[in-house]
Amino acid sequence: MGRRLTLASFLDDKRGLGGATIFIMAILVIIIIIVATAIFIVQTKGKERIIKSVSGESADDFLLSFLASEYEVDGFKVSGEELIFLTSEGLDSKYLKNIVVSSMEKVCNDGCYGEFSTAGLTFTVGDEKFPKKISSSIDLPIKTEVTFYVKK
Amino acid sequence: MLRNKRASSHSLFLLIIMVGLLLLLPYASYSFSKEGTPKRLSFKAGEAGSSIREFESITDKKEVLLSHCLRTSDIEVSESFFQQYSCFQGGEVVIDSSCPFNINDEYKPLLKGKLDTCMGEDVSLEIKDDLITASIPFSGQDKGKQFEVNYERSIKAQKTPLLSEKSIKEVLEDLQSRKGCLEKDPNCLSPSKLEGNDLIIQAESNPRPVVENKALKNHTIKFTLRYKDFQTTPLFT
Repeated sequence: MGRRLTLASFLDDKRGLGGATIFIMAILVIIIIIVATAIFIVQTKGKERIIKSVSGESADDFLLSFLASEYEVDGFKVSGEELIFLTSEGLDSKYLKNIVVSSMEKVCNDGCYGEFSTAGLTFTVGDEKFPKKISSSIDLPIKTEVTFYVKK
Repeated sequence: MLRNKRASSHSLFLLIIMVGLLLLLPYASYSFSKEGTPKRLSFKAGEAGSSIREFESITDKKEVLLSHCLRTSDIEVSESFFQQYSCFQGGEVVIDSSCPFNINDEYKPLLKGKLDTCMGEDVSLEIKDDLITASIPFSGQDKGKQFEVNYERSIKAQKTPLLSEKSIKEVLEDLQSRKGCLEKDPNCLSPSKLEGNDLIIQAESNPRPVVENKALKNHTIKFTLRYKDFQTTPLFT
């Protein structure tokens, strides 16, 4: 009768592929541990601020993340909040538009319609307004508002 | 022979499982990342969770507003500071024994006044070395049928001041350490220059972006320091 598959029988298997397999498996275990650790570190870093899609709770997250993040504009590093004020002071609105649209496209990914309004300007992404409306706003005192229309 | 074959197939079977695990791991991690961390999900569950979320949203927005107010207040105070600085005489900041360039003592209350007005509440302010820290305590309470939430958080914003006492004092220390060279060459501290016994130093604030012709450019506040009796006076730090 065949042997039951136990650790003892496995380690006892010194013929055929056994010895080489143990060595290969030891390497594989080490690789698994390294890969798992690396993935865990990458995914948990800055976890609170990574918004991958729009849900009922993330319109606030999106707006706050946009305002607090730093962007390179015309060779200067400015925060989203500062960029809004510089735009209201006459900076070409293309800088704000590019950053807002690209940020909204990342979270919408064709799954929503996004509208960002500030300083008398409105930028949109997507073609179709879905039924569920999610919005967030802040008075800085320039009123800044983001609205997403998502699938139910 | 048969036993040998079975043992080999067992080993192969385990090998396949390990390879499968290796392939499964990235997918499992991807799924985990889509759901968020278990900790975050558990503390945000239910009515208590939505109450916490509401407090988080309020405080996060206040933090952005505080950061905005700190930035704009620093701009406003720095632009007009020297006109009201007690050591400002005849268009120059005069440094002598009575004025050892401790601008933070006068900068801080002006900044706090602007910040309080901008925020509409009392803000704690600290200027240490080259860092301004503004903070507001926040506490909120919410009660439901089966829960009670006591939310407390210190809302903070930090920035480097546009008029940095530390940077100017470093310039003065550098000039002080090199003043021995004046005996051989009166221009050795250029672009600073001697005027009688006083040293005239051209200084400027930290830069900030301003808009000109729809583009950004650096803006600094330039000012003149008159270091009285430079050659005979020790550094006031």
